[in-house]
Amino acid sequence: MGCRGDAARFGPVRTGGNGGFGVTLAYVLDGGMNDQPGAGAELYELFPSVQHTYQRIAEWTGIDVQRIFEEERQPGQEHRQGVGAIRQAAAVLGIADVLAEEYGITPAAVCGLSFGALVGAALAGAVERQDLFTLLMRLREVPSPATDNGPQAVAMLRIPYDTAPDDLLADVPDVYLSADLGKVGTGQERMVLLGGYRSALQEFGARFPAGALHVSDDHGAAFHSPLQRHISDFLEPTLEAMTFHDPRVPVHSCMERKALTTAEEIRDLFRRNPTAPVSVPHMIGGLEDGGTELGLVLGPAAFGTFQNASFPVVHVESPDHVFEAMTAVYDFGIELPSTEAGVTQ
Amino acid sequence: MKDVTEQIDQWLSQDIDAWTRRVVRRHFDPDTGSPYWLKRAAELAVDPRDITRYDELSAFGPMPLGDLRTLDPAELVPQAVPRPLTGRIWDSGGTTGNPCRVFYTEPMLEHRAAWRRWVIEREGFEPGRTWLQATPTGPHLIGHGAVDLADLYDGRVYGIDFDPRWVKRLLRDGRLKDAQEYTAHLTEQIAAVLEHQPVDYLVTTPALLQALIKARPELVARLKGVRLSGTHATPAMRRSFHKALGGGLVVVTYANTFGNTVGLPVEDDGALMPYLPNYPQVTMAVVDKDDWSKVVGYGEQGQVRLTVLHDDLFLPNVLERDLAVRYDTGPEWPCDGVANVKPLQVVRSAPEGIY
Repeated sequence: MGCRGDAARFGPVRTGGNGGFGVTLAYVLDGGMNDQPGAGAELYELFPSVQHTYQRIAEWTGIDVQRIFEEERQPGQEHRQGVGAIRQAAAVLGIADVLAEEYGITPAAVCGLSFGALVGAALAGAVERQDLFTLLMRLREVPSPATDNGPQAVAMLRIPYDTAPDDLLADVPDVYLSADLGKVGTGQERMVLLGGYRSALQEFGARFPAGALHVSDDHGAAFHSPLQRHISDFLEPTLEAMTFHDPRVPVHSCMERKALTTAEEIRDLFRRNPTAPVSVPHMIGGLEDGGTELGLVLGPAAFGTFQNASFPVVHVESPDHVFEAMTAVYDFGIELPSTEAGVTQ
Repeated sequence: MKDVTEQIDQWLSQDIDAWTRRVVRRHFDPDTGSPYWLKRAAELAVDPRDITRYDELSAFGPMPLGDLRTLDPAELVPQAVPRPLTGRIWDSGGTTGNPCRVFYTEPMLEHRAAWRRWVIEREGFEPGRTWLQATPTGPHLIGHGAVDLADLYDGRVYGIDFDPRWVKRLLRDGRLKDAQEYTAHLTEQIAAVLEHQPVDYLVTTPALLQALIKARPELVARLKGVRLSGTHATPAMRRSFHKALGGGLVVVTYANTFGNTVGLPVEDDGALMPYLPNYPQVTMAVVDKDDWSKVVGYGEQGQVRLTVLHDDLFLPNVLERDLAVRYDTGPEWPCDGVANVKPLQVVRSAPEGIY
């Protein structure tokens, strides 16, 4: 199952300082739910390589290209049940293929948040693309969890930057840290996402000034928390059947400040993704540790999330962005790793 | 060597509201105003001559930069300046299409030169030294700096020319290797001068300096200082430049064809790089990316909104394609500064996004 001949195959990184990685250019992928209809369409119109990528995704998923671009989430559907994740993953892979094939740009490391981590692993060659889409299709079929304790939800909260998110929740039942999105505003605060039962989140919110903790009406899932165990259980047979490879370039984790370099570490990333909290500071910190000099944020993204990195970041989603990425690679004198002989499909 | 301190002090002591009235009245004088603004006056909701405060310049809306790409630049110069106009027209970068063009009258060039003269001394560059200016020339105002160094700072100036528009075209076409070859062509020329001539200071872009450091670090190490502008420099790059110069001066400036700034001392171990605009003719605000009229709080990031208030050029609310942090310059200076300037990208919003 799968195909190793995808366009964006990255060659081995040059070694050097920075823990042996010598990273200069990294690809950064945002979490899910950043897709919107039409995402990726401009590059699809322009580049045959992107058209080819989408065609294969359509074959693997049974969802035709038009639906991938246009289908909207139905009322009452959870995001994972729609085609949004397929659309976002396709856009990211299409952009990576354009950069590799048309412009000779490939990264020396990849890093993704949540869903982005899974796509990043595919970019790094640690999982087959077809396997990734099989997993995403399987995700659409996960049954809803038991609702004995009421519906789940996710909430946003700003806290002082020097507050440890874990300490904040030490004595709070049924509320979990889902994601640490790092610094916001002037840098005095950090944004955290909390997952839990809606009633527990609302009760916790009463400890703060009115409106400080915002429980989302759009999402009924306690992402990245133990309450998502049913997803892990449901996906386990699929993950068991997948083949994991050592990534061709390091995959920086969103769960620890760590570069993942082995197949087992990538498998662990996939297994823990539904239930373990994720962290933008861990991602950025890991990339900084690895010596990243430029980050390209590929595909649909809340771009501002990554702009507090000490290295410059450029968003790449449209043809204009590709030019901006080229300019950044040139201006910053980025040394690109070589592409493998098999860069073409 | 000309002393400009008194002139700079005089500018810095101006009341911005009074200065605004002076410039707006000059450009909207029915007999001697600038043709462009007199035509625009008819479209405005307010009578510009009623504007009494700097904050009221928002009534003009964002400056339509498309106009600057097509009109005769003389249209922006008040008729009070004798016709026919004689002098130079200067272009914006022109790296993303047809450039904006403005006419600089003699007082405008003197203003720019005076600030430059004042700031390079403040930055620590010594007068009477030898410089190599490796920057674009031709329609690019930055190239005129070589004349200022010679005339106002007793400098002896070597020059290397280059064409940034060609580089951008190569990059737009995906020809990164060709662009890098052009860079090598430039660094070889720079190296040839540095190798055989007694150069103290280098004026160039951060990108070219970075390339030169990779190609000929020993030549960079011999320099007493570098003055950089034109491409984005990160705090990490700045630190690497310091290392390459081994204690020499490293100054990164922020400027464009419409207005210059003065680099203020860096803070937080180089993580914060602030700039003060050449007040009162040039002022900058940092505004919400989605609402150009809303100034963000100090320390927050937003889009740079530049206003030009020369007697001979009025450009309110120019929305730059730059992102910066609003910087509080404190009681020593009369206006806001900007810090950590970097390119602004136009990105889609994500309606469902929670991350």
